[in-house]
Amino acid sequence: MSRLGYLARRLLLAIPVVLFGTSLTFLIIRMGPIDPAAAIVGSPDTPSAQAQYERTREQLGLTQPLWDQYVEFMTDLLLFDLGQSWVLSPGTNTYDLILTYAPRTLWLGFWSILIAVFVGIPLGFYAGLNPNTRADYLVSFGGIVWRAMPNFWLAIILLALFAQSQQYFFGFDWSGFVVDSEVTGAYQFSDITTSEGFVREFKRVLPAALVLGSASMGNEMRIGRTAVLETINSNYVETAKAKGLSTTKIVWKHVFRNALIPLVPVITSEAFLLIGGAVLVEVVFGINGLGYLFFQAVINGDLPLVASLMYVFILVLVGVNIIQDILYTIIDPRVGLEEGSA
Amino acid sequence: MTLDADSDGPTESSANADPLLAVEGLRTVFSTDKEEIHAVDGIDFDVREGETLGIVGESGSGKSVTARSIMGLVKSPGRIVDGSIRYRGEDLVGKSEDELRAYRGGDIAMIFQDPMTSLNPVYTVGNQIEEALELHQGLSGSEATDEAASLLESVNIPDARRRLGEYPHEFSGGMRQRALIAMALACDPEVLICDEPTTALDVTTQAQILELLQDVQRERDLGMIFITHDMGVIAEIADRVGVMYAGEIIERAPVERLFAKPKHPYTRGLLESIPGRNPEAARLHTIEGDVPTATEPAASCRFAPRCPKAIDGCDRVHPSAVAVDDADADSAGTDGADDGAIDGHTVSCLLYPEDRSREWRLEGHRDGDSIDATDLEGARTDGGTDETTSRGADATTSRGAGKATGDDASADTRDDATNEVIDE
Amino acid sequence: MIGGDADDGDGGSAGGNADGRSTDGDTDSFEDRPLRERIAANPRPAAVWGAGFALLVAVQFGAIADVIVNAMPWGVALGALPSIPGTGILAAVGQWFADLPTLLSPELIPNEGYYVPGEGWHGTFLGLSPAIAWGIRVVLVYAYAFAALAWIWYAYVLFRRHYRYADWTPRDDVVDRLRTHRWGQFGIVIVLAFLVMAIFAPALATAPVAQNIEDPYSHTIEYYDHDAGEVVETTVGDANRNSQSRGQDARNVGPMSYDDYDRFHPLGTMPSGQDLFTFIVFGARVSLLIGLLSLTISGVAAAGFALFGAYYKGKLDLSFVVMSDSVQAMPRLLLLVLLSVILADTWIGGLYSGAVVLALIFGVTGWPALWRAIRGPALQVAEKEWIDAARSYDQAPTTTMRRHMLPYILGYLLIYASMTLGGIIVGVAGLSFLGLGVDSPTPEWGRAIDAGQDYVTTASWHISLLPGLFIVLVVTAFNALGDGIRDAIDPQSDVGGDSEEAAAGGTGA
Repeated sequence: MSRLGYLARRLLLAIPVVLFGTSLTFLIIRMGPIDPAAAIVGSPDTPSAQAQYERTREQLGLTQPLWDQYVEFMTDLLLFDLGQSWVLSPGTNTYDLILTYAPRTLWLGFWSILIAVFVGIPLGFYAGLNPNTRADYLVSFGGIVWRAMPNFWLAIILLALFAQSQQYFFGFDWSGFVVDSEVTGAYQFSDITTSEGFVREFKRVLPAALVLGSASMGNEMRIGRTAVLETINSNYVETAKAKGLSTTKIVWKHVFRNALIPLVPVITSEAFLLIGGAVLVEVVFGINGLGYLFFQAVINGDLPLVASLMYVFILVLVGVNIIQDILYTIIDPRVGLEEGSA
Repeated sequence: MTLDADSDGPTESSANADPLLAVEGLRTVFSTDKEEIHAVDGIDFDVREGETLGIVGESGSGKSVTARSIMGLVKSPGRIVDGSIRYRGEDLVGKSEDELRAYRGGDIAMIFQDPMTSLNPVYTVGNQIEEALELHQGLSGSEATDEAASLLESVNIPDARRRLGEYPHEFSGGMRQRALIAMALACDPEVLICDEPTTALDVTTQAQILELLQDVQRERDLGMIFITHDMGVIAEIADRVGVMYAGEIIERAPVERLFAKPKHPYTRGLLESIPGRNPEAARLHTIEGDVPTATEPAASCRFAPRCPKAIDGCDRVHPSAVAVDDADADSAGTDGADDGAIDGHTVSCLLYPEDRSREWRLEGHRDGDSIDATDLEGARTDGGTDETTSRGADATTSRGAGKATGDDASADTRDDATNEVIDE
Repeated sequence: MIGGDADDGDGGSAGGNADGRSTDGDTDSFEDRPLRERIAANPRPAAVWGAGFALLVAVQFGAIADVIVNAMPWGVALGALPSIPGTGILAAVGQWFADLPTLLSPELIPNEGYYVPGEGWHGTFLGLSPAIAWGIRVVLVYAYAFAALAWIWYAYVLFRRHYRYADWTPRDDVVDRLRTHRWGQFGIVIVLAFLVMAIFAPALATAPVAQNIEDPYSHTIEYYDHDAGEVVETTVGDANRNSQSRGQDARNVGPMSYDDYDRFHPLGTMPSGQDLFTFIVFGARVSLLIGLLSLTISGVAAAGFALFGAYYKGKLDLSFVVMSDSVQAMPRLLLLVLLSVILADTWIGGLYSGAVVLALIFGVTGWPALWRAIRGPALQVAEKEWIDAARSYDQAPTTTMRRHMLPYILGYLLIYASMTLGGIIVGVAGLSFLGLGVDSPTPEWGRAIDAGQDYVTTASWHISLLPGLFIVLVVTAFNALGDGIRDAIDPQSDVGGDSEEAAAGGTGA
């Protein structure tokens, strides 16, 4: 199978995954005991409330047979008719909600990926190049512990430390550092293009991004280390040495590129952790992003919004998987040859 | 041998006799928490221009470590603890990594056993050959591509220019080995070390690769060290052979001689295990057991436990090299004095010299490491004849006899014990 | 021959069953006498071991019965079948056993008492201070637990020495490799300590959980009132209210200190005045229960899918791929949030303060990660000759899977299960932190972190910090254990990468 064939196959496989995942969402929402109409208008105990309840059921299409509901649910979503919020922000278009909330999550996610990649991978590579040294043990152990920390706990601790930085960092004042900023809170992008606004928002996203990227950073350190170690001991590196290549050339050309291959899924799987983990981090840091929106929608029983958001998340994650496959095909010429049925 | 080279140097006019690469007393040890493994335990050999030295032995005998020692590619926790590796007179042992790199590729190149994994899978074959061209011949751009293509052609890869742009996984095993040979040639080396280059290939491909290597060597007048476990391959390609066992070279001889008159029981075993060599035998001969891992300095013959000819004493005396150039050897007349050591036939076995008594041999070999090394070798380099050998050995015996009493007593008691065990 | 092969390849089935003697299934196939007869032929070592084991059980019999009767979620089974005659009697008998006195109980070594100036401690073990009495109990509990484990290990040694025919089996190598695996041993020790903490929670806690946490206003304690100059009785609830940790120095009971009621708090108190240590040990119980239950569910599902997928391949395997990809395409933590909210109001959501439904949710959403991790090995084993041979003999597919494929993938399942367990513990804590997991009054670590989050930089720093450190330690230990098992079972494997991270990466909490 050629590389393009492999890619096409993966794309094809994404279709049933989206369909099936969305159907699962429908099943979870409709099969549960929560009555969306009751969540919207409250329990129908007075005649007028009863009438409104019936109207809402009508509007939501709950009076139709389940199968029709399912078909409508699926067609709406597949045609990107994401509907509106009913409880959380009644009448607001889901698109508008996403447009309002997404930038904050994107800002957070962007930096947490970047920090994790640019700290975790170099540290892991360094440890792999210097195995069994003190630095290696420090990095390996640090990576393992860093990864084992629960995000929400780390968030609480870091938040407290940054808020009182003068007390814990020998008088270093984080909130007054370079530009004045609060440690946390919703991001403001109005002046993001100015250097001051950028620095301020970067400062504000840093603790949260550090937390959200923590697990991935630990993973990247570990995998990066093993990948480099394996590559260094490989036969082609020995061949390169026997050719008389300099160490620098060997490391940069023959070790790093090969060691990046196993890191591809680790990096892309960050997206999974980010979207999921954002809930906790956003709650602790008081950032009203997509995770926060989803959480609020769930606990307030805004099920139509929940379904639409879940559909968007599924699309994003499936998209990330496709990006991962594209990355694979670029970085590893063998792709599509060794892969089995999946 | 260093002495020989020095003394004979001025009179030697032919550059041909000056070895490209001379390995002497090389010891490579792997130290772990638990033990020290003597992977290469004091071996000597040399290679001259246009000549192929075969090193043969079972897996685990230290062949590959020998090759890596020469390249300076011994992996931790291994290190060279003793001996010298002289390339054109320059000792490589003890040189820094940077200094060693100057020799790798351009002077001494190596071809590895497993062509499937010896090419970097994420770069094209052309890229990897051009890399060597750039480094060693200063070629780049289209020049390098042209040269790489002609190299691929010279190793008989058709459609070379298109093949340059392909990735290793698009090559078959034999093709990859050819590409690796081309890559080694791109370095323009003087010495080529081939570490089991045909083992991973199927038989027809093996033959083609061997032929290719021979052609390449002839064209470029390379000194070649060919490492293999396959006696058949050795017969085809080598000029001289060293038989390796548990880190030591236990027999060395020109190839025809080794096949015609193998001396060491191990060598005989190896030869008998070649299918079709003695068709009358009902079943193929095998050597029972495995190569032992040498965890301490040799105090006995390491082959003794597997040896069908083991005699009393093999388990406590470490044999030293004995010249076995018989009277019919043609070497005495044609070869120079110096060549006696190189081209001669030596064997490290307590059964030799054959015409001496067991006690004499044990005594001679026991002292071999300290005194006899020079005596025996000296004897051979003097004349390379049987006569001188025995003269040197005689001296040893008389010298040893004086102090032997104490040793003998204890040796005798041990003898008895051993005999009893055997009798049972 | 076929049967023998597969059984010999079995490196993974869990050893150390109840009697600790018949652990080795792999030698049975070529042995002619059953283990019972072999013991009869040489009964002494087994008898000595049995006597020791009986002694160990006897001193703790009440506690063992208590765990069986009270700590297991019988409510699930009984709740589904509410009116089976006889369950009442069974429960009564069980309760009677559970009430038997045990060596390591707060009743036998009490640590709750009060100090009367001039008289010393009343009500504590031998009149020692509560801290010392509690310390003695903790040391004894761990000494007992590790002695019991050592005794079970000794059973394996005895079996190897006296009753096993084979001098060597592949499992010996696995054990030997674990012996030199320091990192894995670190994991084993911490994991065992955690297990002991969960199992012996009532004996380790400074106060009974019902008294201190679940129902404090129904219980009373005595203390010496300095103002009145006499011993006074008060409800635990009132005592708790006056022992709160709320940041200020005046309202804080830190680690290793006493409150005004002469109660000792090894880790301080919570903002509600409850004892943090008691909260943590019982929280360990809930975490472990959810972890094991959900792993059983996802493990069985993953093994089933892997076996059927690998055996039949083709469309079936592809459908599993689509299913698992679909579940994994939903962000796990969000899916967990959604499911726990939706299922919270069902009858199952009320069981054990929501712990049971959490286990179900984690189990149902967790199988894809496990399945992905063992699919490779399953496909590998399905390629082996003996599978073809079994097929050609018309062996029933399920028999082939069970006898020839399952043993091979069990080891891998164990590795990833261990690594996943840490992720589940973190996930449960995360949900509880959000108020969606285990509800009050059942203790759960995440809720302790939540309760203390306003006090991290105050005098009451211990409330959030210490439970968090416990989680880090336990999760690290489970990962280390997984590493150790992997290196022991399959030293050549370079598993790493993809599937391991998928399993160990957890939920993103």
